Amino acid sequence: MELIIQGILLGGLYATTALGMSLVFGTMRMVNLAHGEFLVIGAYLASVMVVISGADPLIAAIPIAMLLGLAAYALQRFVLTPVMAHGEEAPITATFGVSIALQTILLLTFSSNPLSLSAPYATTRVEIGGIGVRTSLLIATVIGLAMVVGLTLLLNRTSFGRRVRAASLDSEAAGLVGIDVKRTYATVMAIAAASAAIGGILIALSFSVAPNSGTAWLLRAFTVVVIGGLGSIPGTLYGGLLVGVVETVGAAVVGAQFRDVIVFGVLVVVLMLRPNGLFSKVVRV
Amino acid sequence: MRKPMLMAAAAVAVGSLLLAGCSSGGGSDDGSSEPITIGASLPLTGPLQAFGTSLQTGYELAIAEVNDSGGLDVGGERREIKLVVQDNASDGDAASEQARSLVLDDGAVALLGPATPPLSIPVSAVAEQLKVPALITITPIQAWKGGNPDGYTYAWDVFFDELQMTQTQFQAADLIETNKKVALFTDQEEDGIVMGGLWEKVAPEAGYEIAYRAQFPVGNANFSSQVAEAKAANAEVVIAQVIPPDGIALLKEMKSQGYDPQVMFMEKAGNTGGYPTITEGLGEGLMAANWFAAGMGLDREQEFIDQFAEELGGVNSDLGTLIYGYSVAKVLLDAITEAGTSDAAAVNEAIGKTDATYPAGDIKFDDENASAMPAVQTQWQGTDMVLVLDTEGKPGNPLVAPMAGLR
Repeated sequence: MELIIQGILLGGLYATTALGMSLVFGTMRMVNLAHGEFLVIGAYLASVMVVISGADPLIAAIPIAMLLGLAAYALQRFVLTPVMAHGEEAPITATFGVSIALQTILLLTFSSNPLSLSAPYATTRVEIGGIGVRTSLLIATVIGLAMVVGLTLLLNRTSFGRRVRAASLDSEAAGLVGIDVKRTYATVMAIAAASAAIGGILIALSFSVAPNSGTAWLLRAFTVVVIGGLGSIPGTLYGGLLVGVVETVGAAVVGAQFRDVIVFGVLVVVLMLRPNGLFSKVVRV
Repeated sequence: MRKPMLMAAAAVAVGSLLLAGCSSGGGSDDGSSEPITIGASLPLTGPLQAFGTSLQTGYELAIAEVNDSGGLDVGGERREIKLVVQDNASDGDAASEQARSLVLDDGAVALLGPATPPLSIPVSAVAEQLKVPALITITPIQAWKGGNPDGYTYAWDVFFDELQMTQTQFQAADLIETNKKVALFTDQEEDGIVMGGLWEKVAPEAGYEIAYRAQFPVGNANFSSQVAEAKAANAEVVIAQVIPPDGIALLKEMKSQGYDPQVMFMEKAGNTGGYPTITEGLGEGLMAANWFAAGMGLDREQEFIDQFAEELGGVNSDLGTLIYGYSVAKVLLDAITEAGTSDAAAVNEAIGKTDATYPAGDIKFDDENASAMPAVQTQWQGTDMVLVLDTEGKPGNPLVAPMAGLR
């Protein structure tokens, strides 16, 4: 039971880090290969803000998310959306280029050393039903749940959500009925980057990040999104929880050295049995 | 779904090829008064960046000393030395391609190594293939030898031997009271596998019991169950072989579970300059095997500390790497002078006859082209890695226990 709870909380963090990727794919059918770098940049920017202002990293997460959201808006609006006109492959290649460029900038700016964010709750534990769990992971899971609920409401109960869903179903038709698809895409990317920034800060609080660690987190996010159902926001949460539990229980039972074999083995099995993901029937973008 | 994934894989493959780098130029040493070119493929970016930049400084320092004195004496003639450096981005394939390019395109008559087995072994293989000498360092000897079971002729390694190094953890642990129960955390990189096996072998001989062993892939962030098991095993000695980010994750998990062993060794991650700062104080008191520390009584020890310690954030492994880089570059330069020519075979033969004292210590190669340097044990105390166990296995400065960072 203890392992399952620990896995759920780790999965909560995984889901939080994967939400942005799921949102972008669900709306634009685009795999954002720079998603890992968005996570990492969020953590590094937070470290700078913590040093400058002395603020708690989670407080710093708010302006950092807005800042990264603005940058991502411009990236989508003026770089990626024009590239999307050249076919499905072009934006993937473009985000790969963005990923490498951002990684290099991080290396040159912050060196290759890992970054760990500290806070009073980063290395403490709380009791849940008599089981001690990492406070930072509990916070990450609560934030992840709040983000899933918030995004689901945003997409289903607002006019912006209707525009996003229309653009995701048929961007040309959406444009014909007066929806500014380019602006919608850019706003979606901004929200995705903002959520990634928060996810990156939560990673650095619980573990650490480094300029080159974006790729590993991208793979983890991709696994979560594929297992959960591409583009499904609640599915991303379920996928994250499943991956967290499978990883934690599997590592304890079979051995941590088989962690990647277990997680990516589950991914392959899911793709074979349900190519659209386990939870693809739930509400999609 | 499949199309984007295929495109992603293709993009990654193309990017990797681009990252492998390229070079141009050419020429070879023709025995004239032209500069003698030495090549180095170094990890100037990527996770091994700290090693690369320190080695580069050491190599450049040795070569600048020679050039500033009017050039290297080669057969009675003063020859300028030119160092060509390429960044392999901590990638073994790139290191291999660059080593080949440095010799074939840039005319390098010898190579200086890039640090760590995953990079040094490919460069050594190129040296063997092209028959040019390569001086390797910051590469544990047994792992390096394992990269070529047939033995090396043109590649030479100056560093510590893992067996001696894995004995120092237990010798250092003997300096304090513990229950002699050990928790072992090793990743699945080459050195983690080699050293993990050695620690398991050496522990009983030293009177210690491996009470728990965790093995995990590189990039592991989730240590919750492993730390719980180590704590349950009541291990008062922890030995870990992990990369720096995994070390942070391990320390955070230990702190959150209130697991504070009497002494904790963290190899590889613990050798990162400023690690206590990087870990937000959790690494204070960590132990790590080292190849340099103040008080070892090495040649020009204080001179190097005075010149570089502040720039490198203290007396730490980065300074040791710089000194080893300087030393192996000097070995190569001395060998060229001894050979009286830059001919690869003659220089290689001269390297094999090296028997002299350098800032890294006494360097003399065995029959398998390795010069085993003694490892010592150091402890993070503030910004410095302080010597607590010397080259003869005797106590140095007092070992502070239990580990302060986890209190």
